[in-house]
Amino acid sequence: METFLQVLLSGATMGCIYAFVALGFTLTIAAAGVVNFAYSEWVTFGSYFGVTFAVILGWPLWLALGASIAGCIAIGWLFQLFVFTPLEGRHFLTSVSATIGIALAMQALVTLLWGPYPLTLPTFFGSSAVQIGTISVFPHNLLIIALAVLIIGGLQLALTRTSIGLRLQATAQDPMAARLMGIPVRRMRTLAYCLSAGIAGLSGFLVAPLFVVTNTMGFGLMLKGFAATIVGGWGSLKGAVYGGLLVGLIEALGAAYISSEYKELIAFAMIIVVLLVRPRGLFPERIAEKL
Amino acid sequence: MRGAGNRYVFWAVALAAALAAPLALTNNYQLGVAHQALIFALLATGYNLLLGFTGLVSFGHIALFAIGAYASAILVVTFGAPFLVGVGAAAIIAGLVGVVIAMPALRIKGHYLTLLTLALGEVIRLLIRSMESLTHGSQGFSGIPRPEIFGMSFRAGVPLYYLLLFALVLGVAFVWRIEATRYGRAFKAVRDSEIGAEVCGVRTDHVKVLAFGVSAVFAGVAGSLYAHTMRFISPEFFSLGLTITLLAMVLIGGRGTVIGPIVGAILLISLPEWLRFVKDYYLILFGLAIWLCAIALPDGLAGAAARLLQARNSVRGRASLRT
Repeated sequence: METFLQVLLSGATMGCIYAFVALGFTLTIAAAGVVNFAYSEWVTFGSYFGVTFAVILGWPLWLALGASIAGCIAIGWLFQLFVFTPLEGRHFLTSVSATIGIALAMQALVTLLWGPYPLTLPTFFGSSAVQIGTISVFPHNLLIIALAVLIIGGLQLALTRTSIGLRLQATAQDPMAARLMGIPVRRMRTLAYCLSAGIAGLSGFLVAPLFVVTNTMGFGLMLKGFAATIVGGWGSLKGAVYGGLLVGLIEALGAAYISSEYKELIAFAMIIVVLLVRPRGLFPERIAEKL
Repeated sequence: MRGAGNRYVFWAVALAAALAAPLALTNNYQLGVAHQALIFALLATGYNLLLGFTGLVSFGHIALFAIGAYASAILVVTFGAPFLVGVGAAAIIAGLVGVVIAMPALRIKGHYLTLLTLALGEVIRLLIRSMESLTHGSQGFSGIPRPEIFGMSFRAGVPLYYLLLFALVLGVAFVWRIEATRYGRAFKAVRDSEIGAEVCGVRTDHVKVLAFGVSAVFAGVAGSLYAHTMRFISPEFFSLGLTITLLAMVLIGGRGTVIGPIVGAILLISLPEWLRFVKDYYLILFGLAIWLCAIALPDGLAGAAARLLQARNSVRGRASLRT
């Protein structure tokens, strides 16, 4: 029972991280139909920004977290200028190859700027575990889960209850009609990109203390993010969150009770099974398909 | 038909240059780069059949390449089969796996297909790594002999070069021929408008399975040749990074053209050698080049060249009309 709870907790923690990654990845798809394969590097940069501000410059962690998110938002804004705007409405293959190219360049840039060796980022509460009942808990894991609930809940409220959120949704559903209603589509898309980048920065900063910071860490997370978007339903924000949690939990349970050797396979197996059984995902967006 | 005549002249010159190339490649290292360029040209030519002609974006193609490499290596080294049996088996096994991958691909499209093939490719790679008794796992498979056909040895660099060139010429000739047949037209019809093709009586399911199968056979043969050329293979080599390189070869060269993937493969294999002086910045430049190509040259180098020629010809045509 104790191991089960322990596994559940670590699965939920990773699930929240995957949910963040999938959410950020889905935001640009929903808002502008751009599939951003460079999302992995946004997350990686979030971690490296964290290391730079917190460890190298010695800023307090909260400030470093804010600065990392701000740094990623700046990257997102640059992306919309140089990468996304020329790609909007282009063929899927074009947006994939362009963003893959940028991702390769950014990955190489990481090695140039921060060196080839793994770095580490401290947590807010030190590295000791706290005993709750019979299971030992890392406070950082609880922080990740709490932040996930807070931010995803807040985002949900903002998207459905505020005027700017509704405008964002309108842009996602039908850019032409939104433009006719007087919604500044260009600015809404920029907002979506910056939001997506901010989430990348947050997830990069939060995941860094769980592992070490390397230039390929974002890529592994993005693969799990793909799995989450497929499991949840392509382009659906709600699906991204549920999908992320599901991937994290199943991965942790599978690694604990089946075989840790095949842990990497689990996410891919989930992609294959869901695509074959329910190609639209488990929580699809209920919008009529555009022709 | 001046255009067609020009095309024959072009291919003849290209073939002559390829035949003469070993004279210029003086040391073994340069010859090794040429070997790789030929193998990847064959692989990219097959991938182009799927990506460029039929418009199916698969991210699992490198797994078929890996299957070909391992099938051939295991048969030849572990079971002592001759090289030709290894190549044949690699082609058949990779082709069958390609057809099996195509089955689910019939139900899904676009980005779903890309992510499904990405997942399938990674699963195959991880399975290869975990089947240690057959594949030696992550240590890699070493001691693969150079090809030997009916007692003729291709150990030395130059004979091997010609063997690889022969395989590439066969592959290119096949694609060139198929482009003009009804299968070639069916591939392109599926790419340009699947519903349109179906309405016109093209059996799109058959066409897709055929495209997957044929391109998988190419990948299998290329994989076998790779294993017997490099003499060492490991699961880490066949990673997603290589998929991206392969994609870049076809896109930068020009998808949907016969010459494009060959140009792309030669360029991407030899570019790191030419750009040695930029060292650490190479990957940054490479990535930015892919991005620029995607945005500025959506048809790749071959497409841009064709457009340039067309523009010149139409100017000339107008000039001759005036006189």
